[in-house]
Amino acid sequence: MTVNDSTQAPSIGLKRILVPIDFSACSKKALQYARPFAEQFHAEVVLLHVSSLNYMVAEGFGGIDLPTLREDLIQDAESQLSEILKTLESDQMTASLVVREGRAATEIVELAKAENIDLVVMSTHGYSNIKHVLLGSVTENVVRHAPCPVLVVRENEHEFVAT
Amino acid sequence: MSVQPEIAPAPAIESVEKAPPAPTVIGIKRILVPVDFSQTCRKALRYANRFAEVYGASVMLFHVVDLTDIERISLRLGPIAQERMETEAVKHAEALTAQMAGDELGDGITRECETVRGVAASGILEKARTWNADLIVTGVHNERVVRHAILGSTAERIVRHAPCPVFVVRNKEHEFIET
Repeated sequence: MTVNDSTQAPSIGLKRILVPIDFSACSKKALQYARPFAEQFHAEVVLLHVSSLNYMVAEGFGGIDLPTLREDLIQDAESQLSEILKTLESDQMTASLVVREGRAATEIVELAKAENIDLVVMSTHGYSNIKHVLLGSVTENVVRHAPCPVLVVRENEHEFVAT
Repeated sequence: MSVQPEIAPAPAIESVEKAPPAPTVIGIKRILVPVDFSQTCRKALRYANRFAEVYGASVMLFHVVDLTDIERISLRLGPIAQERMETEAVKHAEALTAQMAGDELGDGITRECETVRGVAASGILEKARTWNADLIVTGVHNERVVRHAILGSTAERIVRHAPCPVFVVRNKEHEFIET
């Protein structure tokens, strides 16, 4: 019985793990959970940031037009994601990054469908949610509509990976 | 006069000697699966079974007999009938739970089955705490996601209040194990 037997367990075909990141502490915790799964099953980690500038003011009032700010936000997200990407790749992991614009939950679900994602790992909260709310609306909507299983982790909990 | 806390102390950290079969930092030792005998919960069990195989975890199948309906009927029939109905319901649930465990879990998987009376979500959450679950694997019923409801109310409450990570599966979805 070699150690490799279990790392190549044919029963878990985990190939692509989507980790939505809004750069909050909580969303980085989702990454801490996604990493060991990706390492064990040689899965690709897809990092996604959704820029929601157009939806920040008031949904239904149309987008606000701030082209410079929009560009800045997207570039900033791309550079922050590439930093994370580098740390993953330096550990011989396969990873890619995607920055999209729109409503977070919708974009996460759409990407999961389009990119054949096997598992979404996300935290109960990101930045935008008030602390006393136990489950953020983005996570709630992803859990409702995701095309694949979702692993929900939270900020302070009983852990099963070293964080 | 003792000042013992009522609630169990912080979860014990698994000792290093009990190394999991796989070289990983993922330490899933106890998987709680709430069972309601639906197809979705069968699927949750299949995922739990795979995780148990890979990480050497034990699986707890946990069913809560909801007493609301029985209490309503027994308003007409009286307390003796209520007791009989409850006993029968628990017996029936225990048999079904054992059957599901036999159907869906591999022979080598350590399992426990437990049936209690009460309210589903709070019973499951309490079990997760007292049993020290590392992971809850639960199903979400597509058909129950009607416009006014947010998730199935039980699954929703589990995701909201769980003391540990929650793995959510749906009836029909993209799978990463054979189901």
